[in-house]
Amino acid sequence: MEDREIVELYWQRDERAIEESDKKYGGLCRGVALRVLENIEDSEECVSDTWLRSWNVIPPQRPNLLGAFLARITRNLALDRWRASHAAKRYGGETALALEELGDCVSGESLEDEVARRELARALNAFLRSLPERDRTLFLRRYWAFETLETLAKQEGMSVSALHRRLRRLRAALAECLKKEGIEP
Amino acid sequence: MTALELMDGLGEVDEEMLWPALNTKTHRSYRRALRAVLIAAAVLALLALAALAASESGLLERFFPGRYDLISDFVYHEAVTAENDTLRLTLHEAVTDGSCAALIFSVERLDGGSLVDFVPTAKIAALGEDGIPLRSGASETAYLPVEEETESHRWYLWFTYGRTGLHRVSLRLEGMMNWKTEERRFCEPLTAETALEPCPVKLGKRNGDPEAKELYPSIVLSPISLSIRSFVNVAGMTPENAILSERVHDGPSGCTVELVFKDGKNLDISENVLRRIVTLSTGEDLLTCVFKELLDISLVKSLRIDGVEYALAAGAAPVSRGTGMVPGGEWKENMRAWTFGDHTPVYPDLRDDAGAVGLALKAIWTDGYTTELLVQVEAERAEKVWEPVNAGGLITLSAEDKRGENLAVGVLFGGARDGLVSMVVECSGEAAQLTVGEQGSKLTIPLDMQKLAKLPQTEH
Repeated sequence: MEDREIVELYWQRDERAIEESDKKYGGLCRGVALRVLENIEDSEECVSDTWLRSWNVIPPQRPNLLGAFLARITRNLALDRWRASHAAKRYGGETALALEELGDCVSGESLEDEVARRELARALNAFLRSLPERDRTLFLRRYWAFETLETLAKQEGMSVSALHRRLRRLRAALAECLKKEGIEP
Repeated sequence: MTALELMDGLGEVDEEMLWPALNTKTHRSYRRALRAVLIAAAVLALLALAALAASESGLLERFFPGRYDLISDFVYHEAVTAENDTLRLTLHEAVTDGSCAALIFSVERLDGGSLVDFVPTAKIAALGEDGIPLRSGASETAYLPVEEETESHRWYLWFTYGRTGLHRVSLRLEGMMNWKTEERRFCEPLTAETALEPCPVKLGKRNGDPEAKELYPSIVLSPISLSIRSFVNVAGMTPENAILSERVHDGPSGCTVELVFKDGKNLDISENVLRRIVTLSTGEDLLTCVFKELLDISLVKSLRIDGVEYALAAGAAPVSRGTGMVPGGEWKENMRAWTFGDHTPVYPDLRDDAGAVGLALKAIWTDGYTTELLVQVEAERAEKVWEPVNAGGLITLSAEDKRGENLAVGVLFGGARDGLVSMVVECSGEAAQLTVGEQGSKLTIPLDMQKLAKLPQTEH
């Protein structure tokens, strides 16, 4: 079923919207949740929460790219869950590794307010737009979707160490960009 | 800004940019993620299939060929047991050098029922001296056939490497899973934990050598492994050091690491490496090479990295640098439903009898990326087939794409019964064929989905 047809089902409050979403994007959302949480049961719950959230926000929203829209909800829900459980040392894995890697780019001092967060989102979009498509894809698959270095390296046909270097250069470029934008000291 | 805020900020990326990245392999996203989780629990897999006549004590001796006396004083022998109404979990033996650890445990069903078709769902944590779980590294678990086993009492080997400061192991058995039906049973958790004394090591001497100090803050050589920690600080590293550091991680093709012995002989480390892993973390990387054969470190004078010699001196294994991550993961996923529903294709005629060992493919489940297969192994001297991997007797399993390049990223050998061995191979891309080999025998299994679908199917 086409995205617009699924969205239309949401607008008509037809519960088949969830069924069709699961059919078309369940795998994607489960993959995102599982990479963050590394626990099948928790991931399933997270994906169920995604359908609930999407049911509540469509309408009024009418996403153009339903897959990205749903995956974003899953990621945010999974990260919330990860954050809550991380204090109890329950989860580790790729999310923790990716977080450590991103530590290269930041000072560690918390952002001051919502304005700063919006500014960060704008700068990140600008930074990603400035990258060649391959680098942008690599960066997003590692730090948005938490794919493992091994998986990415194999798919890109490069060694893990070469990928590590490439990502390191991208993080260094991001750090530079954040400084230039005045978001980081 | 904190890294978590940056990660949250990435959650706001425009969907138009996000979608092409996510959509690259959408249809396999879940499977790949699931595989990553599985591989975290059973990475790269088989370490021992050792159906040898041996007593219960001394099990680890079979896993460490060479001068076992070099580590035997540091092998933990006191059995730790935990049990509930249905299962008894026993941690039998364990040893560590601070970077790697091997542990043997068994699970016994107290009602005498069979565990033959079950695999343990276990989480085993490598802990620092302070009891904090160590992050990173890799772990592998394998069924370990022993003489004492019965249908209700099974042994397993767990091996971990790529750690720093490993001083304790904690084994949590969450239940048992039937590897045929994937039914979970006995889900009341049991935990067994013990402290370990790392075996003696030699440490890289800084010697006031500015390059050694700056590049390799820690070099640890033990009878079991070599670990080289190197700085990869993005901001602070000079270009020269960055290049050198990266060459270390490119392995034998990027740089050479040699052991220099007191008698003047040298040994390229790649000639004695069973497992190799680079653990990446902020600001530094850790290269760990696990030896095929135990090394007498008293005979080693120094380490030579790309021609530059670093002196070694006796010392103690570094203490924990743990950050409190507990590995998650599941043992196995439902693969059979992916392609063939509840039916299993069988290759009735696919066999190879060319060598001393006969191989025949009995059944297969696959989607091209993950394959589970049952292979019948026939040999006059069965014990030869089942020797431990590091003794060179292992059956090999590889996966190739259409160009013949190897795609296997993880191989798990499951239980063996009546010569029937279950194997799982994880691939980084869609495999065109699998190759199972043992000495002179080689079985090539084409993975043509259309052909597989036409093969006779059996229900399971």
